[in-house]
Amino acid sequence: MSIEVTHVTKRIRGVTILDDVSLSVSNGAIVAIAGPNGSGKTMLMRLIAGLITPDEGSIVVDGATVGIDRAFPESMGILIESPQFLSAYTGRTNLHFLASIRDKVGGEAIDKVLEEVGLRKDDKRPFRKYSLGMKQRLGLAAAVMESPSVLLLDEPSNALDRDGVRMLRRLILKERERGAAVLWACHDRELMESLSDEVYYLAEGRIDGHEVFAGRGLS
Amino acid sequence: MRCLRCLAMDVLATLRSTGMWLTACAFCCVLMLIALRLEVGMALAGVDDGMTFDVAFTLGDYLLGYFAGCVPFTDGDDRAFAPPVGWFVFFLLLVVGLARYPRESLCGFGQQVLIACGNRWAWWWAKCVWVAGSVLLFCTTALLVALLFSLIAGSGLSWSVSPDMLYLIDFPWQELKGAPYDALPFMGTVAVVAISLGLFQLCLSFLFDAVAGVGASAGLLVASAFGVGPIGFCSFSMAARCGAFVADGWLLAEALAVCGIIALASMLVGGIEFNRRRCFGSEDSL
Repeated sequence: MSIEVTHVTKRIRGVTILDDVSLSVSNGAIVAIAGPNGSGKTMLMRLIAGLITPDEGSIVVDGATVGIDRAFPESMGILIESPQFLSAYTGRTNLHFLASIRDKVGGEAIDKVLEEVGLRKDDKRPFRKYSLGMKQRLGLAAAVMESPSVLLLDEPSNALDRDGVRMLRRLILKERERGAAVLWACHDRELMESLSDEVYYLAEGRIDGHEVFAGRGLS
Repeated sequence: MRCLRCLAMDVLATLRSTGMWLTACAFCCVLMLIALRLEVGMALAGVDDGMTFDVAFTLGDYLLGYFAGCVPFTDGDDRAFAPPVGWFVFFLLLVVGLARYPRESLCGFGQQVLIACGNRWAWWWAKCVWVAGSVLLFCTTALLVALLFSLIAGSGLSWSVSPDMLYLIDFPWQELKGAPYDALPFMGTVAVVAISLGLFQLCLSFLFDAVAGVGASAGLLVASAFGVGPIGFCSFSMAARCGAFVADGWLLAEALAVCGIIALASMLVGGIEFNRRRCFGSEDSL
């Protein structure tokens, strides 16, 4: 398993946000988390990303316990909430800046991923001039540019137009083919069920149901 | 290496805001030095005939325009306590200018940098270096404005402070150390104090929040101006309490030791808190 969440509970200031949540995502699988606003989807993503530590339970990503063996999963792409970049720089420059930290990918890979998400590499506009949809596309590009083994996408279809949703579909399927473990949350039920191999339903911080759609995502 | 890359991200992320704060700092410094010229001019106009004063307006003289400071408040003193306005404005600009970015970046681009960095300590050290570097930029700005004024006055790059200058600006009402007065080591101490204050505030902003950090720093500045207790370490940046100028002033080694301990403790406590913190970003406000 690439992501193994075991009996995770999280309380913040006395409020239980997640209660005994367990789920797993294997390599090459697309797993969705569904649930109403405030059900704990984003919190679960942030826990897996290592931004928050659980009060109880454990989260293992690629064999390493998050927060114990490693502060953050080593190979992880993430899009949580609205994408944030340096507002004065172009999308391409922002990706170059981010990529320079791990130094795993170069300019060619960045240009390729920009093309994949439908952004122009020669766009001179700074990030602050981007539309919401373009910001979301850039957030997706940042998440996948280093070909991570784990991909966490929280509402990736937000602000995307029809072409954008088609691009998202292609991108997620491509990531699965590559062998990445994809965990995502989406309010578009049709899109979610058409792509995902499994869906976990969250309600008030607890797993309320689990469905497996074997093979449907490959169609 | 990742720490350096995080630092590069911090610099890139704050180029514009730091530039704005440095511009504001330069503007205030210009006003302070104009006020110093006016104060000296008025003092010269009021002296008795036959008395002569020799004020060259050197770089060292101008630095007193910001960092002259004041003597501690004494109950029952027959002279009114004069708050060090220039000194307070400089440090307040510095603490407000550095307050928001480190903590708030965690809710934006800094979060991506943190994850890409993969190491909380590396991210934290980058913030400490960013604070120290930014503080040095504020000090350099003040220095450059003073240098510009001294060049205009034609007095060049002299760090020495004219004894008559101390008299004319109504420096401290206490016994002065014998001349010469060298402002260079004192200016180095100002930079060290400012870095310690910046790191102290950084630590508080992660222990509590940015507003608490600014509030505590401002309180510390007021406490430093009024008295010289153990929490008033910012008074080391006042010439009026410095052994280089006054007879019973603090020693350089004393100031460096206190500020060094505060800076080190702030970096360690803040870093440990950041590492053991269970929440980052928007969840903090739940």
